[in-house]
Amino acid sequence: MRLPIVPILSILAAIVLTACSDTPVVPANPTWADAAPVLRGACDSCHGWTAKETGGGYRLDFFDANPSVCGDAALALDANVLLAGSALTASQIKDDVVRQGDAKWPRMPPQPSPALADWQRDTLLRWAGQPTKGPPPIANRNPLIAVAQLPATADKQLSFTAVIDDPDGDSVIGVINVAGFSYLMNRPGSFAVTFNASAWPAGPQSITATVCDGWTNTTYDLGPVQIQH
Amino acid sequence: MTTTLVTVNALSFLRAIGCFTIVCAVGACGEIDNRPAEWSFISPAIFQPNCATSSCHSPATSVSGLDFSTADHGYSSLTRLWIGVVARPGATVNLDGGSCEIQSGTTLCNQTGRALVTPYDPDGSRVVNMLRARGAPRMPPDRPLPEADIRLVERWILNGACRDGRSCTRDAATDALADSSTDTRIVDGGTDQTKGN
Repeated sequence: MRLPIVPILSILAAIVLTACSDTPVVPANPTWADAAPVLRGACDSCHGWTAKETGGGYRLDFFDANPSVCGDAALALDANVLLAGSALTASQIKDDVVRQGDAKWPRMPPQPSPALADWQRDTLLRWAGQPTKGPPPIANRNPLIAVAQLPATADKQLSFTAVIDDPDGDSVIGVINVAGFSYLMNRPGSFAVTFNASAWPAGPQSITATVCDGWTNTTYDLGPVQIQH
Repeated sequence: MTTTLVTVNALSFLRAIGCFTIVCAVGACGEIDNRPAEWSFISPAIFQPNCATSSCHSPATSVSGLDFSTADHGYSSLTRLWIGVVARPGATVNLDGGSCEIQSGTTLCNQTGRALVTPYDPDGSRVVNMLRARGAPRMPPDRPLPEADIRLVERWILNGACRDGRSCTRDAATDALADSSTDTRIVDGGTDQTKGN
């Protein structure tokens, strides 16, 4: 019996090539969970929290951030930026990641940045054609807050360091609430938190924080602080 | 009796091995990096030897406009790189003394602002995303940096990505943005807090 060598070799070669290829597959109907990692890797350094200065006001690290998603933390987001989920932003993305007219390069990413890989561009194009949020990634984890140098007592001023972060690498916003006052955090990373406590009544005050990764929000009890005047 | 002794000795041995493993693991994982998270250290210790090689980010080649051969050039490359944005079709641009130029038939308008580090935000910094190959091509492309080096870069950014206390990447405008983000309604003489509902 003669084995069909050529078809077998072809199948084996296809299997090997597929296994070796690390190019992600472009989803047929990408959701925000597919588009966000592409934007995070290639765009968010300009179109993240500094978008008003470096990204023309287009902030692409959040699809939306309304109170139903982010709770109190939604207050931290500047109302004057355009988030990725808005129709205007999606239409801009669709135009900017492909060459327009006679241009040799697409507008974004700008020169001298390397162009998007084909799968990145196609993922964004398909998503921007129908910008849906969809469900969060499987096993999405809650955003976190870490606090350092939190004093047990405070008089005129309450100061400490807070770092908000997300174990999945999502962008994060947050708010710290104490004595009816709020400290807003409009980005991930570290903050030198300072409250003027001079008018606060003496006694214990609880400190809470709500942080949001764009999919869900989590509230943490940071502990009490004793106000002494 | 002998069997019992052997068993006890074997258990002791296993315990000793287990303790040794745990101690080693804790020692390795819990090792504190005492190196300074400052650009004056990070540039010569990490960026210059790993990135400023002749065919990559040296003065001669400067791939993607990045030159990490000195601390000053490296800091500028990470924080203040000029970018060229393709003009929209039909847009009116000023080519005489303006910031736009024609390259290979395409009109590019220069802007500052492609920062590869985002102060206080390591996860949002493109340079970290590239060092970790997180949604971006890995750099260096041949082999990743040691984890401790990447963490040191992240610590530097978390502390504000300063140029060793002399100047930070945040200019006045960014400072104003950061301030406004934390004070939507200023009360009590300008402290950064807002009255909640």
